[in-house]
Amino acid sequence: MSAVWTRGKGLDRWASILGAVLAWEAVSRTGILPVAFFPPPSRILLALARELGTGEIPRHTLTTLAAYARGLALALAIGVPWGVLLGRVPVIRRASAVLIEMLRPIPSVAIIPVAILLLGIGEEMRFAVACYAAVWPLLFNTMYGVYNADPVLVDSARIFGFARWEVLWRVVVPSALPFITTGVRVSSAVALIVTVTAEMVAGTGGLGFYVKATELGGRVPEMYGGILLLGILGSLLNHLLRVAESQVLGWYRGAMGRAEEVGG
Amino acid sequence: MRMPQGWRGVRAVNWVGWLVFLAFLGLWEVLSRRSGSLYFPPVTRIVETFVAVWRAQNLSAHVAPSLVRMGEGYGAAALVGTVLGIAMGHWRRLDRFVEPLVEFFRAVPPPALIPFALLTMGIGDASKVFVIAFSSLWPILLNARDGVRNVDQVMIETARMFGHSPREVVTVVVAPATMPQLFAGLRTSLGVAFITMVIAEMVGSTNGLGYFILNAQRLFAVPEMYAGILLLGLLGYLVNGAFERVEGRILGWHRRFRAVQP
Repeated sequence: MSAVWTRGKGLDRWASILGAVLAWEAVSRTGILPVAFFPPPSRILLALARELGTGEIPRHTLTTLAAYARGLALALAIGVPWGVLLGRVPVIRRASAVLIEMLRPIPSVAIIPVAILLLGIGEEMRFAVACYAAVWPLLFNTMYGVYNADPVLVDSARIFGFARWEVLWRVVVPSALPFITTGVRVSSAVALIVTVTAEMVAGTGGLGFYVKATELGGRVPEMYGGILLLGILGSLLNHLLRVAESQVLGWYRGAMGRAEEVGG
Repeated sequence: MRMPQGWRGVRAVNWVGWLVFLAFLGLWEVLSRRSGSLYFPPVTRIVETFVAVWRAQNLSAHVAPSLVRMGEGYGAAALVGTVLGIAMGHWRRLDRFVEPLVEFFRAVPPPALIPFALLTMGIGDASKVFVIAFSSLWPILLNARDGVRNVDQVMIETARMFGHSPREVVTVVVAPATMPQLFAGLRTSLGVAFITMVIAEMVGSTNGLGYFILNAQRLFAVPEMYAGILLLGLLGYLVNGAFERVEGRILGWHRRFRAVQP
């Protein structure tokens, strides 16, 4: 249904974005909105291009992406196995439920000051904070997915003599895959938000730091350029993960379809 | 989807879980007292500080502004998101025009908007309220839109056939059927609003809980910092609980309805 919905929308999409940009340009150039605060998009794009040329923006972008990507990767390595454990082993689940539920309502950005105390204001701090924030969605999604794995499939695999870890690896984890990929997307968004926040609060670099610094320095077009870039980065990452997800789940749906056919 | 057993929704008290939690606190206490670490003060000290810090003066100086900002921003987002979302679900032309912009704005990390808000609206409350409203708008808007779009056509046609006026169809069928998904959006946005409140106060404010925590860290007032984080967790818990109550009251009919449906 959503495929039908998105078809033939490519042109509309660009038309509406172009319309909004032109409207802004007009409103800014005619002085309806103060130019000092709302520079026309043409000037923003020029500023962005200039900063791309000087290497200023690429450097900050890489800094942000590094903290984000390392944080997300480590969160995957921690969150998924832990989630599997919580989903499959009732004792561990019961034992850690209260502790986790106590930590969960604390917004992950609140951990930034603690991280600054422990790790300083450098890249390690931002990496750690991104990782902390990204672990939770992965943990919970994996736990739900694993816990809800079809018991018939699990038992069948056992009956056919698969070892415990094989059941886990071949049946339980694959059937939790849609949950895990959802967790990855949520975690990715969270990791980016927290990285940018940490850069603003105590950054020495990164796009968050850049946007804050240009605002304080009164370099308004540059500030908008930075925000624009963060928006593009956000949608690009989201889009990439969606494509990756449909690749992974395409395989998954195929396998599930076959399983159903075989099952009759 | 079943909630994993031993998590929530189980009436029996999870003794093992509480034991582990208390053991964790005990271990923290002992290790902290032994090492005399500056960064991990003993739990008892944090609790003492919590009690000492969160009295009337600080509550009105930091907690009240936070909650007011969040309430205003979230309220505005709920209002605009619901109205615009329903309109987008109803008129597809509007949806086609607005959707690409929504997709872009939604992808901008909320903290990135704070410098923009500070620049154009100053350091006062308006900038924070704007950022909170802006970031929590999208889940509400998209869920309201999808909710309207996914209303069962058979139900609408049935209501029409039974002679309900278009207006009645909206109030009796469309609005209640949209409600569950709208609430899903409202729930997501509540978390977003809460986090954005903290972020906005950390980056550009001179009061509020976010500011309090970060400032305590800068002053090396470590127990105060933990007391702030603790209160933040408590507030998160309370806000969520309040939302669940309201949701239960409004959506109770839906759950009961679902329960008897084949």
